[in-house]
Amino acid sequence: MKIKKLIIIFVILITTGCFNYVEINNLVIVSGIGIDYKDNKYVVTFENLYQNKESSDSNFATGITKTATGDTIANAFDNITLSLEKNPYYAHLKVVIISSEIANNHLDELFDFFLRNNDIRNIFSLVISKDITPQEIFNSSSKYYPVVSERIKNLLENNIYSNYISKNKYFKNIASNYLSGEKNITLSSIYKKDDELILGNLFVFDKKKVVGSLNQEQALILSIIDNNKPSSIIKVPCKIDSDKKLVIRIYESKTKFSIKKNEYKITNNLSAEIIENSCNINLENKESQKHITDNFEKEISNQTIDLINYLKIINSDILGINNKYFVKYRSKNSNYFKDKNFKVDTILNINKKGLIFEVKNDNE
Amino acid sequence: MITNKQKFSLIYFITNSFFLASGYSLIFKVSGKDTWLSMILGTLIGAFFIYLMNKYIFNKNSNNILTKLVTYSFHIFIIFINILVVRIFATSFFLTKTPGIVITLPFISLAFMCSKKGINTIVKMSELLLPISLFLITISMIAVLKDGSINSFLPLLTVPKRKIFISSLYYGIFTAIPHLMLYNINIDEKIHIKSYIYSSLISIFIGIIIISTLGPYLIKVFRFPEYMVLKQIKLFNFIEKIENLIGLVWFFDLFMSSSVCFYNLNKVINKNFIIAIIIASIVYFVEFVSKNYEYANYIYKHLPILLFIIGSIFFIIFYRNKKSS
Repeated sequence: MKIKKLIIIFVILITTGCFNYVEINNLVIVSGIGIDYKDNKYVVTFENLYQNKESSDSNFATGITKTATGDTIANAFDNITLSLEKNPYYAHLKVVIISSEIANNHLDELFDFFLRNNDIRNIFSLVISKDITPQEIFNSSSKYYPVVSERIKNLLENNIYSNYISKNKYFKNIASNYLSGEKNITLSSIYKKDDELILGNLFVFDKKKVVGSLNQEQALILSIIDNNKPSSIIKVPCKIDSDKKLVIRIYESKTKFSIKKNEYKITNNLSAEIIENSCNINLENKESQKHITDNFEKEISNQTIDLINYLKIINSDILGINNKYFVKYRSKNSNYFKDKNFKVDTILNINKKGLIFEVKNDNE
Repeated sequence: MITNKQKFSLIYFITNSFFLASGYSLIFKVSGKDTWLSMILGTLIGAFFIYLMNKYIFNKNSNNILTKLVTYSFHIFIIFINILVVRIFATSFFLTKTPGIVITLPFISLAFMCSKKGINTIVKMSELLLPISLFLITISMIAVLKDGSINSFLPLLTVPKRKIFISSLYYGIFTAIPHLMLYNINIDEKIHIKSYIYSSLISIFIGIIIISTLGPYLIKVFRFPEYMVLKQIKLFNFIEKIENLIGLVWFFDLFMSSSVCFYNLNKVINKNFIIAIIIASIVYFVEFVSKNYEYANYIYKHLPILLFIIGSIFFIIFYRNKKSS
C-alpha cells in the first residue's frame, strides 16, 4: 500500500506537464506583426505590449516595436527573439501588416507560414501598408494611441459607414479564398498622412498578385453587391441646382446572380433611406418619389457596370463569378467572368425618409 | 447489469474513437467537400459491419491459442493507435516541450487502472463523460456555426464516385471496426445498431460543421481539421481561446476506447506483469514511431487498411470458432 502511495506521489510530481510551464512575467504579448521584403531578406517587426510605467493605471499598455531580418519568415521571427528578453506570445495577435512587395511576390510563403504555425491563431486582420513600410506604421504610436495594432484593428472594425474599404475578414477566410482560388481576394490598406493613420484603397488581386485597387466609391458599390448589410452612401445631383445633392444610404441588399452560358446578370435588390435632401424635394409626393427612385436605380446600375468593367479589365474575379458558373454548370471556365457579357438591374426601395417630413418648397 | 444508457454511451465513445487526427482528416482528404455523402453511406456500411459482428461473432468466447493471439493483436493495435494519437496531438498543440513518455504513461496507466475495476466502472465512467462530451460538442458547434457557409458544399457531388466510395469505406471502417472490442459485452443487436447510428449522426453533424466552416480547401490542408475549427470559437464576443478545453472531448473517446481494450486484454491474459510488458512496449513503440515522421505518416495514410485487415482477421477467426463449436 505504501509503495502504491509513493508511486502515486511520484507520478503526480513528475507527470504534470510542467515542462511547458512559462511564467506570465516571462511572456510578451505580440499584438501586431509587420512583414516586409528588402534586399532579398524578410524584415519582420513585432509590436509587443508592455505595461506603461508612466501611467497610473496598471492596465494601460504601450506598444514597443522590435525588428529583425532573415532569409525566411521563420528565420526573421527567430531573430527577433535575440533582442526580446521574454517569450513571444501570439494568441492575442490582432493585425498583420504586409508591404506591397510581400503582397505581390511572397503571399504563398506568408500563407504557408501562418497556416502551419500552431502558436498563431488565424483570426487576425491582414492589411497592406501603402507608400510606407510596416515598420514605419508600427513606429507611429503617439501618446494618445500608444498601441498601433489596437488602433488599426479599431479602424477596421468600427468604420461602419464605408465598411467595405475596411472589410474585416479574418486571415482564415482570406487564406481559404486565396488557396482554393474560388474568389480573388481583396485586402484593406493603410497609409499615413500628417501623422494620422488612414484607411486607404481596397487592394484587389488576381490569382497571386495585386492588380488594382478600388477607391471608396467603388468599394461602396462592391459592398452593395457582396454584402447583405451594407452601409453605402449614393448621391445624385439635384435637377435644378446640380451643385446640390440628394443622398441615400443603402442599408440592406439582396443581390442575385443569374448565370447563363453566354452572359450573367446581377440584380441588386436594395433598401435605402434618405439621409440628405439638399434638393428640397417633397418626399410625400408620389411622383417625386418615383422620380428619385428611378434616378438612383440608374445611378447604382451605372456605377455597378463601371465597377464590373474595371474588374474585367484587371481580370480580378473578386465576386466569384467563375465559381458561380462552376457551381451551376459543373465545368470550370476561368475566363467566364472576363469574356462574357453581363447585365445589371437595380430594384430600389426607399422606405425611410429620415426623421423630418417638412420641406421648404417642392422644387423638383 | 449494464443499462441501455450505459451501453449507448460506450458505443458512442467507441464509434468516435478514431476521429481525432485520422478519421476526419483522412476522409476529408479523399472526398473533400462531398464528405457529407461519404459519411452517410459510410454509416450504412458501418451498420452492416455491426450487423455481421452481432450475428456471427459476438458473445462467443473461445480459449484456443489462435483466438487469444488475434485478440491480443487487435487490442494492442487499437491501444497503440490511441496512444500514438494522444502523443502526437498533445505534443503538437499543448505540451510541445514535454517528453512524450510523460504524456503517454499517465494516459495509458489511467486507462489500465480503469479497466482493472471491471466493466461496470468503465460503463459508469462513459455514462458520466457522455453528457460532458455532448455539451462541449454542442457549445462548440453552435459557436462556429456563424462562420460556416453553404457555399462550402457547392457544387454538390463533383468529387469522383470512386473517391466517395473509398471515403465511405474508410468511414465505415473507422466507426465500425472498433466495435469488435465489444465482442464479450452483452448488447442487443437492435440497440447496438441503433446506438451506432445515433453516434454516427453526431459525427456527421460535426463533419458538416467542419466543412462549412473551414471550406473545401482548408479541410484538406489541416492535419487536425476538427481542432482547427475550435480555434475560431468566440462565444458572446468575449469567451474565446477555449479550444483546449473543448478539445478534451477527443481525449474522452480515446480514453474510453483504451479502457475497453485493456479490459479485454485483462480477461484474456490476467497477468499483471505481461500487461506491464505490453504497456512498456506500446509506450516505447509510440515514442519510436512519433519521432520518425515517415513511420507516423505511413501509419496515418494506411490506417483504414491496417484496421480493416486486422479487424477482418479477428472476425474470420471468431467466425470459424463459432462454426466449429
